[in-house]
Parts: sequence; structure tokens; C-alpha cells
Amino acid sequence: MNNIFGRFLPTDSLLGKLDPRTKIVIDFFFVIILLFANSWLTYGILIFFVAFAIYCSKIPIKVFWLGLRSILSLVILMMLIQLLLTAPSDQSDILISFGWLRISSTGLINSIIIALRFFLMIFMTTVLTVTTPSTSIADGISSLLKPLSKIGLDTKTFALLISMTLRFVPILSDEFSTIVDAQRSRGLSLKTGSIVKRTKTLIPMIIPLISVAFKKALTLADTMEIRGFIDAKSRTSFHQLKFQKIDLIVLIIFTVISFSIVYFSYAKL
Amino acid sequence: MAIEFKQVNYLYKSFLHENSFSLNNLSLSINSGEFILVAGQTGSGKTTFLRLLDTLILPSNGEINFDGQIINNSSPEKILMKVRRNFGFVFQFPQRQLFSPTVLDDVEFAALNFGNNKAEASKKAKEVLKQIGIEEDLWEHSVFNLSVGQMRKVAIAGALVNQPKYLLLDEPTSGMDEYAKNDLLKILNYFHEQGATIIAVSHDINTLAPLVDRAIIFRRGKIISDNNPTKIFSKPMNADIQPPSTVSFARSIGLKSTPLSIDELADEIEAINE
Ligand SMILES: Nc1ncnc2c1ncn2[C@@H]1O[C@H](COP(=O)(O)OP(=O)(O)O)[C@@H](O)[C@H]1O
Ligand SMILES: [Mg+2]
Repeated sequence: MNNIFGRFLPTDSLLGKLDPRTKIVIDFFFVIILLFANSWLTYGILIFFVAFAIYCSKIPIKVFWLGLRSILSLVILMMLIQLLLTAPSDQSDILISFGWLRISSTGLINSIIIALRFFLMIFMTTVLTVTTPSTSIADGISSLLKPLSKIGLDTKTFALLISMTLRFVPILSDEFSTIVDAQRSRGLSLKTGSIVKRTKTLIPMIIPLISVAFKKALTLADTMEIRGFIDAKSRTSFHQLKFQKIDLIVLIIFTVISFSIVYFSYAKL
Repeated sequence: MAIEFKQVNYLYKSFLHENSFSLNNLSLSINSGEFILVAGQTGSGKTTFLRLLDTLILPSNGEINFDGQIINNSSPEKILMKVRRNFGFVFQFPQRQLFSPTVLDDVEFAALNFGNNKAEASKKAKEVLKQIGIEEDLWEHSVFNLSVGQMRKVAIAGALVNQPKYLLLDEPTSGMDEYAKNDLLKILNYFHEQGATIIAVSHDINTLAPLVDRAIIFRRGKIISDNNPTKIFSKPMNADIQPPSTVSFARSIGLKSTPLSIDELADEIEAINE
């Protein structure tokens, strides 16, 4: 195996069973959400999420390292550029200086962030490509783009998706701020302690959030099934794409994660 | 005097909610040992009021004096933690805050966060679990395998573990059957007798009105009445709060008094018959 990146590895994992469109949509929005991350907390959540996805893919971690190796030189180059070109904000910011060459801690942090973003992006894409055959990816993309090319097609589903998202985000946002409040009232502090301690504070917030989102998603999925929405469409394509309950649940969990990133990058806690 | 709000304003700024809401010019004091009911329509600011009390949010303007400790917009986290340890906050669906592997761990959480060591936290947790009525054989169980009623009790235990001076409850009886309500009322009475100050937000006027010594009614971010429940419910009804059904009943049979419980109502009726 010379380039693992983009190669499908059949497993019986949960991620293998997902509709390719679910994974494509998540990958696409993950890249956007990545741009929102601006703190140890938000990066922590994203790292959790990616680690969980890797775990669920049942693909050995070695495969991901191999995927990473192919672009490692590019990442190092980007890091160097950041490191050398970031001007120190003030005197105390300088870490090392050699003549004209000055390395600041801001530059160091920026270059680490760049690397982290790249790694997370590559890992997520690898999760998609190793759990999905390329024909399914193609089918998924064409299916996703259909409504754009033929205006008026499948507007019902599209509208439903939009309205579901619009309904879910505020509900989850309120749930989430209540959970955060509840843990803060029990003395959880996001502002004190070491990095390790702070990262641990994620657990009391994310576990209840996922449990609430899961319950809500299940109820919603059942409601939709009762009303005959899911699986009701007959497809004529040779490669049949099937949007199932599990896809809805995964999408909602991803919405939760995305929301918490946006929330934590704006919220004044 | 224990807690004093001085011209407190609070304004939500949020990109998710279209309408901005504010609590306006709140000035009141809460004495220690009081049992207060906070009522008003949905969206009138009751939960916001509780969040201010627990310093989960800070006043946009004005200040709150907690037993001499002044809190305002710029109070640092360290001070807030000091104030917060005197509060226990039971949220509307407290079971949603559970996350630990076992019941005991979850109840210990607040005790550990507020500076107890593991042994002290464990001792306090066991004590409160007993008071709340969670049997010992459940202590090592996973919180996620409990019934909803048990989960709620565990979560309440988690809020009470530090023996807080002030107990805040948001809609504590919502979704509860009569048995569970009775259980909860016993717990509240117990902590009230121990000296805790209790502030409960509730629509369940029938259950709470007989117990409290003061009711505060909110309308669109302002306090519109603040008095003892008998005075409040003796006035003509308005849309902000439904009087207890005993009061409505008394009115419908032409009584002028304001009985807050079935017992009081029965006494009134007996008095007429004699
Ligand atoms: N996090 C928030 N961001 C913006 N507005 C909010 C937020 N939480 C509550 N509100 C608004 O503040 C108002 C009062 O809310 P709340 O105190 O929860 O009322 P109550 O508990 O009396 O139902 C509501 O209109 C609500 O929409
Ligand atoms: Mg409320």
C-alpha cells in the first residue's frame, strides 16, 4: 500500500453502514466548523469528535498515520512559514532571536494550530474515504448536488432538512446552556486549573449533551418513520443510497458538536 | 438581610434568539430562612432571576450583595465560586446533568469541585443520598440505568451535597406524579427546617402556595407583586398567575377568604356550618 489516503477498506463498522451523503455533508461542514475553533476547549471538542470517529471506523490507527505521512512535508512547510513570519506582539512575546530571525510564542502557537487543523481535516477525510467505496462517494455527491442543478427537484426533502435544522439548533442550544449552567452551579469552572484539568471539564458537559441529543434524535426518527417519511422514496439508481435512522442520529450528533464549537467560540463563560 | 439586589438589569445578547430580553431594574432583598415562590408566565424572566442568584450570569448593570460580598459585572471567577458554593441549584430536568459512572460519583461532583477531599466528599454524598431516600444498593449503579424518578433524586442530591445555605429550584414538580411531588415536598421541608433558604420557580401553585411565606410574580422582566401568598391571591385574578384551586373554589361558593390548602378550605367551610 503506497498511498492509503482515499482507499476503501471494508469493515463491518457503524461508519461503513452510514449513507455516504451523511459522511460527505459532515466532512464538508467539519472543515467550516474547524474555522470557528478558537480555544483549547473548542479544539478539545473537535479532537474528541475525530478520535471518536476514528474509533467507530474500526480502522487501525496506523492507517491514519500513513495517510498523514503523505502530506507531512506540506504541513511542516506551513508551520515554518507561520513560525518565521509572525511578528512578535511585544518584547515579552519573543522566545528566541538570532539576528533578524525572531521566533515568538504567538508564532509558535499559530503554527501548532495550523498543524492541528490540517491533521484534523486529513483524519476526517480519511475516515470518509476508508469507510466508503469511491462509487458510493460519487453517487453521494451527485445526489447531493442534484437539487442545485435541477431547480425544483426534491424541494420537499430539502425544505424538511432545513426546517429540522432550524428547529433543532435553538432547542439544543438551550439544552446545552442549561447543562453548562447545571455543571457550573455544581462548581465546574472553565477558567481555572491546568490544561489537563480544563480538558477534563468537557466530560460533564458533552456526555449529557450527547445523551439529550440522542434521545431527541431517536424520538424524531421514530416520528418520521411513523409518518412514513424514511425509506418511502423509491430510487431507480443502480447504486441505491439509503438514508436510515442511524444517519439522522449521526447528523444530529454532528449538529450538536458543531453547535458546541460555535457556542464556545462566542460564549462568555 | 442575606441577599440584596440593587437596581439590577440583565440583558441577553444572543445570535440565536431574535428578540432581546431584559430583566429591568430589579431591587429586592431575600432574608435567610425564607421559602419563596417565584411565578409568572413563560418567558417572564424567572429562570434568568435564578441564574443571577447563582452567579451563573452577572448583572449587566447594578449589583447584588450576597451576605456582604458584592457581585457586579466585573466580578472575577474566584469570587463567584466563593458565592456559588452557598447555592444548590436544581434545574427543571436535573437528570440531564448526570454524567458519572456511578451514582455516588455524580453526587460527589459538587463537593469535590468546592474543595472537599475525596473522603469528605464521599461522606457528604452518602449522607445526602440517605436523606433523599436513595437506597444503598444503588450507590454503585450506573446513573444511566436508573428510572427517571431515581435519576431526578440523584441529581437533587448532587445539588444538595454541600449543604447549601440557599436552595434554588426551577419547576421542581414538572412531570412528577403526586407521589413524587409528596416526596419532593418532604425533602424541601426537611432542608427548610434545617435552616436553608428556598427559592422555587413554579407553575404548580396548588402544591407550593401552602408552603411558602412569600410569592414574587414576574411579568416581562419586572416584578409586579411581591407579598405573602394570602395577600397576593386575595386580589382579583390576572393573567400572570392562576390562584390555587382552593381559592377559586372558595370564590365560586361566595367565600371572601383566601384558603391556600385543602385543610384551610375545610376549616372555612366548617366555620360557616357552625
Ligand atoms: N440564552 C438566552 N439568550 C437569549 N435570550 C434568552 C436566553 N435565555 C432566555 N432568553 C429569553 O429571555 C426571556 C426570559 O427567559 P426565562 O428567564 O427563561 O423565562 P422563564 O423562566 O420565566 O420562562 C425569554 O423571552 C427568553 O426567550
Ligand atoms: Mg424557566
